[in-house]
Amino acid sequence: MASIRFSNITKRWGSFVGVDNLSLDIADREFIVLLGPSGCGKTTSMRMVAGLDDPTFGDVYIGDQRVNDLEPKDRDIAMVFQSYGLYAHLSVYENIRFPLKVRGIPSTEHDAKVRAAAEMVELTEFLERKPKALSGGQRQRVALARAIVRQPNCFLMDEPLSNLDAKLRITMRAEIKHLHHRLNVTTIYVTHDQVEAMTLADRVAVMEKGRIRQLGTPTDIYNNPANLFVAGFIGSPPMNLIDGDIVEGQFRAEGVSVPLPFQGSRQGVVLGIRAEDLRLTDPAHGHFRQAVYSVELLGDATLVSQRFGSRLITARADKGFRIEMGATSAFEAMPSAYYLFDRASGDRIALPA
Amino acid sequence: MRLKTLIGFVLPSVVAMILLIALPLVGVIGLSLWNSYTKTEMVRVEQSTPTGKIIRTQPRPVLDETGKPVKVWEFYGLKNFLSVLDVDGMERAFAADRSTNPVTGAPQSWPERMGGVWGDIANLSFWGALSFTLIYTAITTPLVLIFGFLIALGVHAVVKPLKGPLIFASLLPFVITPVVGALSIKWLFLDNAVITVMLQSLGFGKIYFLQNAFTTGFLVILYGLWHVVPFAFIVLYAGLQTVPQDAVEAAVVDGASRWQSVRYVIMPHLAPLFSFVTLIHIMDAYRVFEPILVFSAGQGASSLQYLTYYLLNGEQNFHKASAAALLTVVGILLLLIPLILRTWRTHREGA
Amino acid sequence: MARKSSRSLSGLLAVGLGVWVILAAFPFLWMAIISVRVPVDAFSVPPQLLAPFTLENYYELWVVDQFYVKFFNSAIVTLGVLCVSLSIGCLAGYALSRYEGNLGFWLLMVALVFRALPHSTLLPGYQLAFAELGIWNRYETLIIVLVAINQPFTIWMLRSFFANIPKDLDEAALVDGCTRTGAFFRVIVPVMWPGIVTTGLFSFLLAYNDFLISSQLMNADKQTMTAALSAYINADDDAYKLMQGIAGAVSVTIPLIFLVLFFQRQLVSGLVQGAVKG
Ligand SMILES: Nc1ncnc2c1ncn2[C@@H]1O[C@H](COP(=O)(O)OP(=O)(O)O)[C@@H](O)[C@H]1O
Ligand SMILES: [Mg+2]
Repeated sequence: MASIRFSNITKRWGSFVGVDNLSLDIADREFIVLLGPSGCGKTTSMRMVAGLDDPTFGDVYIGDQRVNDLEPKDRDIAMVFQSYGLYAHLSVYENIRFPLKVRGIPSTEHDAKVRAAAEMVELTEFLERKPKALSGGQRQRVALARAIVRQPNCFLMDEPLSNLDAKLRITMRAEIKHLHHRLNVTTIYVTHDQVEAMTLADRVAVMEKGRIRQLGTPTDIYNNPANLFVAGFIGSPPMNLIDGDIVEGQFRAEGVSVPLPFQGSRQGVVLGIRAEDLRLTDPAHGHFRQAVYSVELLGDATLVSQRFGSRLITARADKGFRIEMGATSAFEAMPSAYYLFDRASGDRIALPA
Repeated sequence: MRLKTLIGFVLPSVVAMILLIALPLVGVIGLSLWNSYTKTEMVRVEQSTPTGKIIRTQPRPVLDETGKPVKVWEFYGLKNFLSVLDVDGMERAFAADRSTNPVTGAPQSWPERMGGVWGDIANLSFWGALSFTLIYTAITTPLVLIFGFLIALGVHAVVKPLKGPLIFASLLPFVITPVVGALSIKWLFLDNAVITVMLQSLGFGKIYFLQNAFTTGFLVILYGLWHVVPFAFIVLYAGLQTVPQDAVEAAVVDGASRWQSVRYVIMPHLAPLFSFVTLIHIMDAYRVFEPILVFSAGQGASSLQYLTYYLLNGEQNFHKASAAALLTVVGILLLLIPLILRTWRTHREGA
Repeated sequence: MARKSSRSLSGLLAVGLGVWVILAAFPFLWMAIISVRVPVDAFSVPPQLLAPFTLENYYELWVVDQFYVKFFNSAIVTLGVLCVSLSIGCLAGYALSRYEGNLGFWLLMVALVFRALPHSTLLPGYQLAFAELGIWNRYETLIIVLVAINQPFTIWMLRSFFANIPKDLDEAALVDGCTRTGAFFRVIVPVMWPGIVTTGLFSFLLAYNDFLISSQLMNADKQTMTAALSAYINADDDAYKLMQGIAGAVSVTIPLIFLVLFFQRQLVSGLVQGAVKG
């Protein structure tokens, strides 16, 4: 068991920067999720912990040891690959046993360990099969079992659920959470799916273009996005964002007028508001007044959108709420529910509570 | 993968290539710049003949202490190259008076005069080899691609049980040992062989295929097509198996005719393979060898590879052979460097 | 309308493929047919479809001229080249498919240039070196020369096969505790055979079909079958020698025919998997 530290890590290919001066401290036994859109450098960051890629600059520490020059096998980690990386020519049993075998663990211990790991992920019936004869979910479990068959310093998981269908994904998510609870091993988990991040993580690092844009607990990230990128990335539907200016404490944009607890005026800001904080109101005095652009029934809620220029503003209404498309409508929210960002830098502008 | 690991893995292969390709090339460079001969001296020898003793002088190799003949090496600079390029012959070709036809004496037009220069140059062995290589490439490349592609489409379209035998028959000329392939063609075209005789009985007259430059050149090209079309076929056929079926179906749904779906869906998909076959074929055009040897085509239809071989075995001059070899290398580099630079650019962008 | 055009198209297809098959196979068939005739029947005017059968030519070639020695030489050289070339080519091809830096790229480009060199380019260099070293006319010399000049092609081809084996596989083995070499042998080798067979077929052809190098580096006693045919190339005036040459050509072809029969499917699917994609 160990903590992990990224210290000013940069990874370049030629002039292309994949990971940009990244620093991150991961506590022992922590479950940390690297979250970000595809191509933002999550996998690369994780691979540098595994030793599959070498940082161009900076150091990686596992525990107190600088591991830059260690081979992957000497870092004592286990990894679950996005496409599982199962050995097609070996049975499930031999797949799970592989790490024990190549690490020279006495063969008398193998059987018990393999069976224990298989049991934990409910694979016992399939031990004799070849990976080819397994379903996606079962292959996923083999990959997990192969990771947990020994007690490594840490687990690395690269989008382990992205190849599963929606239903299985939810089951496996719960299993992974349970496994972490049981084994209590430091885990780095990479995903582009914010729901996975929110449900699994102790802390989430939201990444964009090779940098961490915000690091915090899931609640923190959701309630206090530090910048436009995080605000727009987290939440489903994502936070509504409208470009405009503040004039005399009032946010103004075409068809929008929102009173804010803000002194004075400011040009070039972005107003943010989550769909669930918006409610429909009397068309005479809402903050957002436009015809209804679309209505989506989700079952547990109804999403109503208005269109401002190229942007949609979406409000989340009760599941029983109904309105015609094209009808006049108005949204409003508590002033304290609004977020304000600087358009140029993307940084959050603090509003007095 | 780290550099150290890479080096460890490629070492045996790279060492083999350095020792047996790179070093010999360096040796060839050296050889091409020098000349060597066995040192001889004139000695007086006494011979007793029935009419009495006579004393004659005759040449004899000089031996060193170990009893081996002494070889003399002499720096030649570019002389070997000039002699392979046959600069004198070129000069003669350009300097010759071509205002009148040498046979009929009639005045010649400019195109005729240029034709005369060209004809004389093509008779010089290096330029002849180069020009035949170019002609060969220009004729065979498009035909190889067209026939290869048509056969691939055809085999792709036939019913399953026929595919195996068709592929089998098509592969034979490709896997065949080139000497054997060339011989098997030659044995059809000997003066009393089956095709020659049949053509004669069909009223084409007796054609002595192996006796003149034009027909041997034709046979070399015929052999080239026979040997390489199957290669193009098998590569393109394999490529056809990877054409995404939904793209073809989408084209059909969109109302494309059979020809249009070939032209706008299949051919773009196979484009890299067309380039691949072209590249391989052009590289191989420099080294056409066995058919030239087998058809004794050397004079009329030659290749740079054959020229080197001839200088080595016919003239026994391995300095000139080296110069010819190096000129071939230069030709290949001229061909490949643009390609390599382009690949390098895409490689760097991709990284 | 569509029906009609597709019927005439399939007629065209049948005719075209029929013509092609005849063109492709006729030289073989005719060579095989005349190899079992006496000279007057083989080149009779007009040509005959049927003529008395004789194995005389084969007897002269194999027994009297001891062609079996050449067969044996071919076997040694071809198998030697196959083993060495594939072993060292695998290692290099694998590493090149996994290495991302520029060195790998330039190695491949140099290999491409080497692939393009006509073999005769190297002959003057070999003549000088091998005579000095006294390693002329030896199986090992021929094998290693053929291995070297086939390496560029071999590593290109194998690299594209390995590139199609997911990187995840060996990387999983690395984190599971293998060294690079261990990962290669434990998880790559077991799944690389389709690529090896296809590349092996090409290596076999390159070694077995080589005429130039073998005829230049080896004396008559150690020449391969292919090189030994040089004795019969210009024998058009000696009818009996010519007939032996024909029997020899057929003999050289027979192993190739079996090769295609056995590995045809492999070759096509191998090309589909590897070379064509990479
Ligand atoms: N081996 C490589 N060579 C060049 N660029 C790479 C390489 N691996 C990844 N990249 C680039 O680096 C960026 C980050 O990749 P990655 O870490 O895989 O992103 P993700 O967050 O989707 O996992 C991407 O833009 C990708 O194209
Ligand atoms: Mg990724």
